[in-house]
Formats: sequence, structure tokens, C-alpha cells
Amino acid sequence: MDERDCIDRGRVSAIAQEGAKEAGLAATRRYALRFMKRSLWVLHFNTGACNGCDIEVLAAFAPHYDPERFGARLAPSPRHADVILVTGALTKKSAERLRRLYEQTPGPKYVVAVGTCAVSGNVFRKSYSVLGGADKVVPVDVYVPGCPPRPDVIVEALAELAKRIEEEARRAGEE
Amino acid sequence: MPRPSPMWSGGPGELRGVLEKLLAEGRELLLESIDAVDEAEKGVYRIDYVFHDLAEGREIVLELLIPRGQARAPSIADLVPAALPYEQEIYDLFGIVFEGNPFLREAFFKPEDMKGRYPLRKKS
Repeated sequence: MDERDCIDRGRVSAIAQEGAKEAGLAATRRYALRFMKRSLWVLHFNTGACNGCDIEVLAAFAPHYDPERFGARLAPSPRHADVILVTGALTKKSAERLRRLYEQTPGPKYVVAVGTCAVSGNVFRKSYSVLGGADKVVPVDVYVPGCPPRPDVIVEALAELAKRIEEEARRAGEE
Repeated sequence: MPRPSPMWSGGPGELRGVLEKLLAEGRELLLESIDAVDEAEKGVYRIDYVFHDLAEGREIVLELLIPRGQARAPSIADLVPAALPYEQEIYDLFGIVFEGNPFLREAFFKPEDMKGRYPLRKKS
């Protein structure tokens, strides 16, 4: 081990510590985004769908469409999820639950609304038990209309989200 | 499949007697469903108790008619425990009180802000 090596190591360590102090959460977020863009873990939640969209979501995650080729897979729990994929009109009863799931998901987190019901409430919009689309209680990042949407469009939505996350990671790096 | 013609049709006073008699005959009755319909033009709520008779392999329907002005019916949950969730649902959506069911709770199915309003009634 020569002298220069020691100096360099010390410098690297100092820079890292300084950076961690200055960047703090921003750096964590940047790293999280960089890894997340190739590893979207998706929590599927039905807020009152007829199951038409759920069947298409399952088809989208099956080998024929294979979203795992860019790292997207279903998560078993909101605490493991990066993306919440919502299907169905938002009923007043499920609104509370969706909000709670969103709060249980660690950030950075994204929401995809799949199907016209999750986008706007569709024909159920004015029902006594329905609030409307998922965006009434959580911020929605990607909307996928259709009744139901085709699986390839659902996969495309996830790819679009990965693209946006990549851009966001780049922007976070520039700041 | 059309609704099987009811084996019995009558008012709330007789329902439990009829059911107790059927059960006493030793029939194996499985409760398939309890359906309520608001027949507003006739001034009644119709409640169909649909049972499956295991031995005969067919459906048995008991048709209970109660006047719209007096939305009360006897609970059969002590005779047939499977009736509990159906009675709860009909109570919530039609406002029909099942006397003798201790578990009835309003706004179990419908949202809290619909308390006192019954969405499946044709007119209140």
C-alpha cells in the first residue's frame, strides 16, 4: 500500500461524507430512482372493478407479454411496491383503503390507473357509492383508458413510467 | 334459468312456522340465497328464500311478501345461520329490519353518508 493510495482513499471517503451531508435525501432518492427504473414492483389493487381489467392485468403479467423483461413484477405487499396499479371505479368504501395503501407504500412511488373506471369512474361516476376515478384520493401518474385496456397497453404504460423515472433520475442527478 | 315457482307464499307471521315444519321433516336444506325485490307497484317487498334440497336435488323457494309501509320481517338466522349475511345486506340496501337478528348494522355495505337512505328501494 503506497502513500498515494492512502491519500486517495481518504479523499474519496471525505467526498462521500460531504456529499451525504449536502445531498442527503436527494442522493437517496436519485439512487432509488436509478435502480427503480429497471425494477418496478407493482401492487395491483381493485377499488371496485368488474374484474375485466383485473383479468387483463393478469394477462399482462403472464409470460406472453412478460413485463419482467424490464424488471416489472407484481409485489406481494404495499411495503414492497414502487407502483400501485389501480383498477375499477373508486367506491367511497375503497377510497379509504386506497389512500391507506398509498401511505403504506415507501417513496418514491407512482400510481397507474388502468381502465376507464379507474381513470374517471366511467358510467358509475354518479352512483351513490362511487367517488369517481382513482385520482380523487391519490396522485395518478399514468392513465390507461379502455374497457378493458389490452394487456400490451398496460405493459406500455409501465414502460412509459420506467422512461419517466429514468428522466426523473437524470434530473435529480443534475440538481 | 327462470325462478322456480314458490313452494309457499305468504306474510311475515307464517314464515318461521313453514320453515320449521320443512326442517322438522328431516330435509337437508342448504340456503342458496335470500333475494329481495321492491315491487312498488304492488305495494310490497318480495323476499325469496331459495333453498337447495339435497335429497331431491332441486330448489325450494319460499316467497315472503311484506307491506312497504311496514318493513319488518322475522329473522331465520337462528334456524339457518347462513341467512346472517343475506339479512345484513337486505337490511342495509332495503331498510327491512329482520327481528331477532342481533348483528344488523347500518352502513356495512353502503357508504356512511347513505345512512337512513336505502338505495335499492324504488321509492322511499
